[in-house]
Amino acid sequence: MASHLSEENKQTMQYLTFVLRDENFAVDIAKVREVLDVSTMTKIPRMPDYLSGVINLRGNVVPVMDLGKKLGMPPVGHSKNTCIIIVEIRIDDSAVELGVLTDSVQMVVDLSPEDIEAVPRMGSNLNTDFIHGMGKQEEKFLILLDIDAVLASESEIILRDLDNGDLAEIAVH
Amino acid sequence: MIDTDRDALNGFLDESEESLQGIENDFIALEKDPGNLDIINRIFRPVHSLKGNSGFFGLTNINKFSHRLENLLDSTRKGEILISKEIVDILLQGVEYLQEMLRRVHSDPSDITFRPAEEEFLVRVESFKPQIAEGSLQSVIRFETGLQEFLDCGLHIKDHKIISNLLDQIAKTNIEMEKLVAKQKIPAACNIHRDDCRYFLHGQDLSEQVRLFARVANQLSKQKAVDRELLVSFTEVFSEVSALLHGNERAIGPLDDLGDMLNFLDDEMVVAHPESNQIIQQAINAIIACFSAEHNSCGSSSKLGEILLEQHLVGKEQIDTALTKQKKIGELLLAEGSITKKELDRALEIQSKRTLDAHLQDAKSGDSAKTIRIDQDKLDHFADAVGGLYINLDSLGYLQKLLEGSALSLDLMSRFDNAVHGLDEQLEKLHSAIMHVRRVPVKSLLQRFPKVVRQLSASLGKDIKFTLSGEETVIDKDLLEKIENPLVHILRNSLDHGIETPAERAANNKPAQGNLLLSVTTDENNVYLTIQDDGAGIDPERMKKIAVEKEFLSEEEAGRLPEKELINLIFRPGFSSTEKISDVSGRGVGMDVVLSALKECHGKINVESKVGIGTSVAITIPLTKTLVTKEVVIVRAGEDAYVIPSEHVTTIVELENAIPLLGKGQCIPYGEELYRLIDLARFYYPGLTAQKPADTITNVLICNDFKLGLVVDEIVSHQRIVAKEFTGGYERMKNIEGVEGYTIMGNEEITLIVDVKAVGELAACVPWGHANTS
Repeated sequence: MASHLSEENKQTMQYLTFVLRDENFAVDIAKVREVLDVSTMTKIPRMPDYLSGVINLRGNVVPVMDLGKKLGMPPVGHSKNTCIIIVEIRIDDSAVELGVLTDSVQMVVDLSPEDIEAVPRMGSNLNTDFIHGMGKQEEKFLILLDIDAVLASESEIILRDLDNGDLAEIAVH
Repeated sequence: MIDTDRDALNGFLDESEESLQGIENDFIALEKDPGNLDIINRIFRPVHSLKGNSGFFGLTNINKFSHRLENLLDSTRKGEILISKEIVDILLQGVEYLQEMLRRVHSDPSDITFRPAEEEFLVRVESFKPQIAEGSLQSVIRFETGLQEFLDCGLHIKDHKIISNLLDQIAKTNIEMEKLVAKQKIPAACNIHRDDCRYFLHGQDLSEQVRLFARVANQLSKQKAVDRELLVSFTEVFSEVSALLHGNERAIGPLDDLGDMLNFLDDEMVVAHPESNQIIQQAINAIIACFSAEHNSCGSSSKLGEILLEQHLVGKEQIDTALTKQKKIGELLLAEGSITKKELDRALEIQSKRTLDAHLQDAKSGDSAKTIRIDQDKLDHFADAVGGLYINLDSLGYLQKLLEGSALSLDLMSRFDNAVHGLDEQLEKLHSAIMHVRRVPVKSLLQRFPKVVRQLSASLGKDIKFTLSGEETVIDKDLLEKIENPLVHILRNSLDHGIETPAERAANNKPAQGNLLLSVTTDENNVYLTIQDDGAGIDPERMKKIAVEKEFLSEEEAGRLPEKELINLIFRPGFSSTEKISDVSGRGVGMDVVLSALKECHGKINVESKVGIGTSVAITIPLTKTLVTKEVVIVRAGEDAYVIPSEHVTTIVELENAIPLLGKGQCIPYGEELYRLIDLARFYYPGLTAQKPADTITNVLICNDFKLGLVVDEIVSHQRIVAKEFTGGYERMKNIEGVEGYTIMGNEEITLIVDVKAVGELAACVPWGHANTS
């Protein structure tokens, strides 16, 4: 991971920082399209619980993910600070917009390569697959989220779901 | 030229496939009427242009194949080979091979080899040798007569001198020709087929004749030109121009005919007599110049020189030089002393007046039917955008309601109302315009059937006269696709079970040939399809027997059913009444498939049958007026709103007497049946536990199609929505069980559309006592 970082991030990069259950996260600003207040969200049935629903973004339907649940943390609460970060990632050459529900958005920070450290070994309470590295900012540490990895894991899950035979399960209810 | 633009290739492939499909029925007509030159010519044309174009695209296999086929056709057309069933079969087979080759090229443009079967076929085609030697001579004479008649009808408006001049030249050529005939000792006793020529001269307008002439010139100039390749392209360019002008294969036909005859003339005769050939060419050039005014008035046609330039076949200089050489006919004649200056002036005056008239005519008629081919996807995008506008209109309507209670001035309010109303009206217009664009003639579908019927009836040993009517009817393209399978099923059934073998028919005092009729008509609201046969009919008694044997009904139930209902048993899944299974039909699938396909497009079907007399199947399908909007019921179930398409909702009742089914859920009596109740909120969220207060009214939406009752908490409204499907890159959203799509409501909220069918199917997975015991 360290070598990967040193190759890719030769210069200072900008990150959007946000809070999720008292943890400070950051995501590459290049992936972020916009930040929205939580508006009316439509629940989608029969979806994994970290998928909070869909929102209408100027006529486009954008799924919103509860990042807390996705990362194995408690769900994002609802406060006046709760907001949705719209990220755009690429899956198989097509751009996918996705909303990420967070407790609050903080600011944009500059991080140079020396500010970023490899992911430390953590307890099992946080899924580290989606973490890119740790950013050091003044006294705080930022968890640099690899948003592509979060979504890449999505497609795997879908494949696994197909094998599970959801249909049979539903029929029993 | 394999690296030619892929788009151009695909365009060519599509067009070729279409035109080949278009002639299949002609073969069948040809078999019935072997002497009909019209039909042979209709078949000849697409094969001929396929030959030319495939060469251009470097598709050597198709080029060679179509060339051979063309030769055979040519021989039949010249009467050298007589049309027989064998020939028709071979031609039909050949066209099938061609289609197959086209399809192969479609998937892999580099696949230009023959398959063994195709090689064999070519050998077989070669084995048909012309039976009559004088065919070539006939062709020459036909040309000559044709030209003469053509001049008679086309040139009377111009100076008669030109005609007589031309005829003189032709006569000269003719003498030369006769000499040649004498030399080669070809029997001179050939009939002149004036009628053959008359047909392609009949009923054409002036501009067509101009093109005809251009074609003649084109063909004739072949001998003079050194570069043959250029001339091949020349020919192609011309047919393209004609196609552009008419967007219609038929218009090119006459051109081709004369051209081909001339072509033959070139090869056989004129090459030997360059002098007489040159004379003809000059005369024809003069005529072209004389018609150039009319030619130019055809706005959409390009000048020949321009086209050649475009295609990089000749340089600008060459054309300019050629143009300076080409004098105006008037000047030519003046120089020859054939006319006086005064006569010329008067003629020119008449000409300019005629040109003006032609312009006015063009502007008036307005149906110089320019057509363009549009990718259906693009059209769908267009329709989609209109759908989007409907959503916007909805939001405006919603805003309008909100504003009603506000302190806005009345004047402002009414202006706002007007604006919304205006938008609504325009949108309706746009919508119906798109609906019209999407309509295509049913011909594109129907023309496939005669071949299917012919093959099937042959394999079943039946003699069937198949009649189509209403091919020009236009219906929505989607609808056209949806009715294909039902129609094929019904036709097959008629062929297989309906119409008897000639022997059976004879035994019942019926003519040996059975009749099968397929007709299509429309009115403002519906499209009506009728399939009628004069076969054995459906025997209700036999239906009864089978129903009991297959345990669809008890003997007692079957006995109670009226005749009509017994006939309708054919629509039951798994109900096949034939004792033996044939590869045509009779696998127990078919009519139920027909029924479900028709349900999809909200069609109705009615079967009338009389034993021994025949069966008539009448299908009525509403012409969808609304492509993008849907009538729906908006409901609330639990916390959420859902959209339920009205098409599935038979009625809405209050939940009073639900009948519990031994812990397997509940059902509700409706009509004479029990419908399974599905709690919509709990269907989507099985874990839901919240109980509603006891005194609230629970509504049940009865869905007759699926024998379901959907339990909801509240009926919010009945309205129109724009249905959308989940798209975009997020895979998971594309297939949500029990959800058909979504709509965006006036308040901009996304609301899910219930897929009633899927809900019914998922719920049907649960064992249900009633269904099994009935």
